[in-house]
Amino acid sequence: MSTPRLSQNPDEVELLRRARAGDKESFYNLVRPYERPIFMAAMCVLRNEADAEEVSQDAVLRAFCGLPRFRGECKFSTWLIQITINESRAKLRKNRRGLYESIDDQREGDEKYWFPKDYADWREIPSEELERKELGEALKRALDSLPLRYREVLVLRDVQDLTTQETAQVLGVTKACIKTRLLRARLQMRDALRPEVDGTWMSGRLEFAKARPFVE
Amino acid sequence: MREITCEDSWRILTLDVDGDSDKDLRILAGLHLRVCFRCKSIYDATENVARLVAKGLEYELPEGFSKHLYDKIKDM
Repeated sequence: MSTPRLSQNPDEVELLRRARAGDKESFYNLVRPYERPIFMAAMCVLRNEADAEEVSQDAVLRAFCGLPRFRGECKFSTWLIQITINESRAKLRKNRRGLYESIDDQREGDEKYWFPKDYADWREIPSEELERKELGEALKRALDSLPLRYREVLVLRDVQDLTTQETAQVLGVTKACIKTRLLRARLQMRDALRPEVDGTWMSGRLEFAKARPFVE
Repeated sequence: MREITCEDSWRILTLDVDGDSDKDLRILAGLHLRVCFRCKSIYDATENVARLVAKGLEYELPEGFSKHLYDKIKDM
């Protein structure tokens, strides 16, 4: 039996032990704290609630079957999210939508030199002026407008608070690639959330690329 | 202490996103941000977005998600 990482919650270690022995109840309790993170991981890839629900739950079932292979070299949550991301990408390939957004463009070409050539209005986004719900919707629309490779990094690092190392492991790229993609993702989000010329706030429209030739 | 270009500053800040890069390089980048409004604006924008996203981006689980998951596990 693998030696669990010392950083793991002892309760989680016990649940994992029982789950490996086939205790489904324990496995459900093990997974339950991560329901929202895995759903969010699936959503950032698929951008569709029904697909994300199906895929994230299928990922959990796949994790149960794969428990003998989990050696505790990373946190259980990281492993679970990695499975979810992989399943989501596979689903995206199958979907018709996948025809318009290639997920094969995940190569580590981002590590080449890059510097923002242009930038939109960099005024502080007045989050105080936006109601929480409005802000959440605006952020989601802006996130949806980003390329997949930036959505994934932004959600895993800035929302789910995975470390750079964990994010790199989940996505199968280097730490340097994660850092580069993260800053670009943040800047593209900022551009997607920029104010209109009349001062009102807009978000997520693809027209921003025409107005501001910012993206690669 | 030598000055650095905007491109160098951006490269350092990219590597330093976890605050774990070379200390001297971080100081150089920090000094650059003090004198370069453009780079400072870009840097502040990334920090602002990170805060907003961490605070405001969340997804509610679909209704019945937990129960559906429980049933699927039970039925395996």
